[in-house]
Amino acid sequence: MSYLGWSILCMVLYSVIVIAIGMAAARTTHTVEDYLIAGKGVGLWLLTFGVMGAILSGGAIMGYSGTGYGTGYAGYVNLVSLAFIGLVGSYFVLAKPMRISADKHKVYTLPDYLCVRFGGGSERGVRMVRGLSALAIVLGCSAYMVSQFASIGAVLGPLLNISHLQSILIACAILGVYTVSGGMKASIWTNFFQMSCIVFIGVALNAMILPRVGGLSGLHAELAKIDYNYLRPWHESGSFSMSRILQYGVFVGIFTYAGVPHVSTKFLTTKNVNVLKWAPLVSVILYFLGVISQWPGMAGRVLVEQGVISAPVAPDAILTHMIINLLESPVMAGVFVAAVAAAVMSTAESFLILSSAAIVRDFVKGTLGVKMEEKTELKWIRICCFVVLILGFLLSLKPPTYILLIVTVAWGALSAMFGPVLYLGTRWKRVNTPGAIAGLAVGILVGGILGIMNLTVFSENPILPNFNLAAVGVILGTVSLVVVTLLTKPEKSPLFAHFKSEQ
Amino acid sequence: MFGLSGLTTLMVFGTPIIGVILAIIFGLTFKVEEEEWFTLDDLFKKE
Repeated sequence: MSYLGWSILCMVLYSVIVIAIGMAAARTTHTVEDYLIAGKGVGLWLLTFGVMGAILSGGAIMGYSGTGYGTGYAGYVNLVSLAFIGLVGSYFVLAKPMRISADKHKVYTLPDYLCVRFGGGSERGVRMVRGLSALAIVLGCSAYMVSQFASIGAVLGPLLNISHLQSILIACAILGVYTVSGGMKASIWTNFFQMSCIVFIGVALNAMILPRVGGLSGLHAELAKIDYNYLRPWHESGSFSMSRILQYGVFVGIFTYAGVPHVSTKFLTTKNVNVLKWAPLVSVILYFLGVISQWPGMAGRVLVEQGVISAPVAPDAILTHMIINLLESPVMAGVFVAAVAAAVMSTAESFLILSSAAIVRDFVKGTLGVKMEEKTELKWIRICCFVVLILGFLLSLKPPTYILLIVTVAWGALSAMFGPVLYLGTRWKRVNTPGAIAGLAVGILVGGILGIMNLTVFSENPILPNFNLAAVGVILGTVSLVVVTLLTKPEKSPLFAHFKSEQ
Repeated sequence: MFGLSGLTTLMVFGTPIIGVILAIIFGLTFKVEEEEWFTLDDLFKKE
């Protein structure tokens, strides 16, 4: 069977499996709690595969291999290296408090959690916290979704011999069928399958491609001859300078990693607190297995230099290019298509659910105060999920050059917007509602709006070119939160009401 | 390691290992029944 034949077969098989899983999940999705936090029924393996599936997007396969091909280790170090520490840190700082809050209060979203935390403030202040949080989610998730649909376009297009537009249409259709109906249950259950695909393809491509360049040692020796910068953790100057990488790695990767709602919201879904005990260990191992596609990308650079294969049309297309021109394996091409679809959808699902919940539950119901029964709320969340899917499709019509760059900016924006208020709010009782509003507002302005504009409107002439705006957003957001908190009155918080010291 | 400099080895292989160690420490010290958690205020608590 040809490349086209295997690609179509694998995509059909993948689609049937995820739609079947999703529809099975939809049958047990009857309430808002089911839709948004999987009915709090998730165990260790579903949680960890769910968290990592949400984290490891199209950027994991296409992006890391693309930057591996184009720049060497610097792109990986920028986004991943310190994130291993941040990932464990996020479990330590946030997981247990958030899960306990979900037992004691009706917490289904990140804004719900922040409203419990700052429930001691004025009603107007709490509404502002909810409204700003909802805005932050919609802003960050929109940017992130563009990168996901771009990934699927970069793979389905060449292998199925269809246009970028047709590729993202197919992805949207599959995604829509199971996510709109099944919500977070469908997302988490399909994540288990999707994450398995991601790990499989990463390990398989490494096993098949690395030996052709002499393993890791041979790979590094050959890259050193081409350009030693490939082996450096950062470059002398430019986007991957040490300063830029460490700014992002420290302030986003370590200090505010789970500020991103598609990670932190998963902590609400577990069946009990005990599930969290070994979740960080499983997550870190899965994370490592999920990001190893950088090595085949780097091997691609060596093979192009040696004349074994021609250069790909774009760096992010290197894996597709090698599967066709090096491995000459139609089977692997088919499996690869399914794996990228899995990676894209495992992340895009979360953003669809989060965005629709932010718009309906947090903005319309929570901020504007529109009264809604649970059935009506669930109906409108589903409708909104579909609308957000359409908007994501429209925003993705013009594909970007470097997928990982968008992922980096979007992740950084979300971390800057939420990180300070979430991390400090959970671990420092003194943070109050005015401080939270200040932290959110500054994070949104600097890390969110300016960060995304630097990638788009100001791309030719970026603001603060020597600085990573996400890191600046984290710092300024934190400073604003702390200063305003200390200048305003302390509050009691319902989040700590069960503490012995509060009674 | 694998022909990389010490710094690159640390950033590529060292940080995942650090993550695993921290995760093991987390698991071993995690108390399921405890519903309270450490806050910065505990650092400044007067006895």
